Amino acid sequence: MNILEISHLKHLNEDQVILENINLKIERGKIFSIIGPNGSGKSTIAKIICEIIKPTSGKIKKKRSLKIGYVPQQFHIDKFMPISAEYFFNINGLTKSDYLPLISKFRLAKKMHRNLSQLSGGELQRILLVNAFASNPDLLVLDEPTQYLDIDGQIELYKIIEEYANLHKTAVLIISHDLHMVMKSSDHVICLNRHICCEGSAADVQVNEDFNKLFGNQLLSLVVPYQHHHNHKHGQEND
Amino acid sequence: MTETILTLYCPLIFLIAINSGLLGSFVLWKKYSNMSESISHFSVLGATISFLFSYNMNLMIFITSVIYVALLYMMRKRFSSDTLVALFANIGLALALVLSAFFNKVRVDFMSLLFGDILLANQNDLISLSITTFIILVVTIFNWKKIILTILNADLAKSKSINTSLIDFFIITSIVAYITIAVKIIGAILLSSMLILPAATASMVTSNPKRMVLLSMVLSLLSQITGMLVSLLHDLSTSGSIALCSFVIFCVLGIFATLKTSLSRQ
Repeated sequence: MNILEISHLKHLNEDQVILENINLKIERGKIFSIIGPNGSGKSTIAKIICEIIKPTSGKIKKKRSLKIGYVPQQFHIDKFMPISAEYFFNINGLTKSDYLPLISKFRLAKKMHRNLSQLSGGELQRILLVNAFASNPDLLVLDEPTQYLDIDGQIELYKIIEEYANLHKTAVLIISHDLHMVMKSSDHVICLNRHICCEGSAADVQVNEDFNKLFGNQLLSLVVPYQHHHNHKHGQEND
Repeated sequence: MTETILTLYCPLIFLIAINSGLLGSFVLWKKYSNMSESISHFSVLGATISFLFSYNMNLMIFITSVIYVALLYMMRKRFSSDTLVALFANIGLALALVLSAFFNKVRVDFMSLLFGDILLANQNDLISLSITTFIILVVTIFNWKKIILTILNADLAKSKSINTSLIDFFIITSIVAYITIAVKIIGAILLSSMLILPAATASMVTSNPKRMVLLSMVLSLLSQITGMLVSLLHDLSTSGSIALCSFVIFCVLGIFATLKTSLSRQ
């Protein structure tokens, strides 16, 4: 069942085309990923879906009272703003019963009373994820959710997203540039470069010519094994 | 005199403390420190025009400040806010000086405009400040969560259908309205430090935005009372003494907060 349908969407920013001819259908319980190079309009789509910006033209049809959980790409806490995770959840309209079950899952129990400006990028990112998950949304829009997470954190996050989407039949839209993770976990991959270059299952997209043109270099770096070149000598004390 | 102190000056410093605490926190969180300083400098132009042409002072200051903010807003896409503020910060002052030179017959008291004089305040100022404070407090109390979320992250706030433009408009209008009334009492030079210092001090020792605002109100009141007492006892400038008292409190609590943090790390 489609919970959101975008048709013939176009967005301009001061006469510059950011997005054009975007057609997209988001189904309940499925994980969608949007991949594309920098400046391809990935975050703009996320913001249009979340009604943060209005598109120049096009139609967006949403399920009635569609609830969206959003994780923004950039989130900076000023040092002068004394705010804990608990207070942050509270101003987002969440109660303890909403977020407490997710706290241990995201390993945040000890961070609840710390000032957000003192947390690491990864910890802050996990707080934003809890904030998006806890509102029990129909659609999760995650803009670069793995940007501050280490490899283990990324694997863990995709596992949680898959579990959550299956359990609650929530649709998930992930904006990412991390091809490896996206290809493994998504039901539907959309390759974007101001317009939709190609889309489909990860297997279909991977053999598409446009996809290989856009991500050829990245794909190559994924298959070339890492080689540790020695241009220094290992001393016994420092090894 | 005692009656004037009780019915005019006491309520005024209480209202200034409420506004300084709340709006000072907004100024810090929104990184409006430079802008609020330049608005207060620009307001001298409004005051000068009102002296020269015998217009209502508060109205003229408000109009010039609004024109100044609108100018900044229109040019924000072309220049960074820092550049804009640096560009215009003292233009208002310069214009005021040049204008006053053209009208030799009218004497503009720049010293009291720049450094403030509580004795210039009258019942009309008290009424204007009471109404402004009431409106600011009511809007803030009823929209507290929306305001904090907008300040934290405008995109996240917009995704929750919060009208962030309206909230930004409320914050900037409140700052302009407060500066309009407070500039002749506190002075254009010291107004922004009296806005920022109590809030910056409170941010070091509090754990949530609400407590920060409340503590900065208390600290602002404390620095005003001690500053006034010091100025009365030693015949010093009132606004200068208040600003220095705010700075002393900032240093004392800053040292306390640093010691507390380093002890908790050990």
